[in-house]
Amino acid sequence: MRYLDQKMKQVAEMLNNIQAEDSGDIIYDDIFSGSEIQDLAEHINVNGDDTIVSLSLDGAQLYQNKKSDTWISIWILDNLSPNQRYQKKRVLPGTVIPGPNKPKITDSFFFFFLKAFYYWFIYLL
Amino acid sequence: MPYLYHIPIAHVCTISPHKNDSYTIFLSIQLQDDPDKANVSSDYERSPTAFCDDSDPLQPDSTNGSQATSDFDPDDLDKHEQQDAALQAEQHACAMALRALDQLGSESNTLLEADSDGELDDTPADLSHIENIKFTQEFTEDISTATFENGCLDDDVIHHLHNPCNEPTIISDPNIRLSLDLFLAVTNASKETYHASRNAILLRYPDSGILSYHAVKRLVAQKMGVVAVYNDMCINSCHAFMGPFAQLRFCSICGEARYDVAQAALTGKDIARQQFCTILLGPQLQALQ
Repeated sequence: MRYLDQKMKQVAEMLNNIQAEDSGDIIYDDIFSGSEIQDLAEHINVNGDDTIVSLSLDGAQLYQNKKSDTWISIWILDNLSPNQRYQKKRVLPGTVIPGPNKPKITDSFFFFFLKAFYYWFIYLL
Repeated sequence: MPYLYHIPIAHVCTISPHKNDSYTIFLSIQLQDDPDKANVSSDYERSPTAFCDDSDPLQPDSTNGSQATSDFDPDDLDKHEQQDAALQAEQHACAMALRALDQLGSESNTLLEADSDGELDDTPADLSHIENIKFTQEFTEDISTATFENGCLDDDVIHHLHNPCNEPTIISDPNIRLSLDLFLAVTNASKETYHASRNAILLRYPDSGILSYHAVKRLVAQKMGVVAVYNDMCINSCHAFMGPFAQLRFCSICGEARYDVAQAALTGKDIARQQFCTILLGPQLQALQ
């Protein structure tokens, strides 16, 4: 779980040294190297104690010869190092949307857990 | 503090513009919320034109289509069915017209992108005139006004969120321990596997108080606090009946009924035809600690 802290410091150091001549190449090896999350981290002041999750949604056909698409979303805990976070036992289930059609307005399905998430924030603050 | 929910809002905003189907949404909601338009047949022709561009080539066709359907209503249909048919015809017409609008070019898309960035900081009351953005705004506004009281969470869940377990759970009862071990051992198998194993144990040791499947499942949920919550959705997976759609009784895209008519006749209760399952993230993260 210390991965987030270490990685953020490493990336910050790399970005600080970007002007130096002997800085070498910048390595892009995780989502924390990306500008989006770096900007956000600067904005909301992320530190190593925070929890960062990614949401992933995709459809899966459950039976080979049957129209049986089910859309499953999962949470990936980004505080773990990349070789741990995608392991089956560390991936958290999010939403299961039964098919067989694909969801047309995906936001409306995400709405509920975003709202529940917000309750949780209110409580924690 | 405001930035804590910046992440979900930004997320919702950025994925929406890529969903072209979303154009068809708002129009339908406005029509459904307006009972006059659903009731009076002479309004059918007007309602699509009220929202669509005059240059739309498909529009006359689709308007005719809705008229044809409404003329078809025979007298033996009761009023309720008439409304439904009218509503469906109208929605179909609007969807057709808007789909044609969609194809008009990429101009609207770029406009949409620009607006979604610009309006992120706007006050929620200032709703966009672009359906797609307005929809997202309604979602974000609903989320940001959320409290435990106006939500749709069970009391048990809220209680557990308020009082997370701070110490390791100790299971001293050997019967409960046996039930939990069995439950976890067959977690990849079917429910029947648990039943069969439990029956086998009960046959040999009738006095062992091994729990039933539902009891052990409830026990695990209680110990961990991780629960699944079920919400209504359209039977064709168009959208969930949440946020701006929460009060609707028919899908705003395909017009399918939200509740099972046969069940309502039998029990008098509204039972959803299709539900989706959400496993809340908060309790899961709490259980990780």
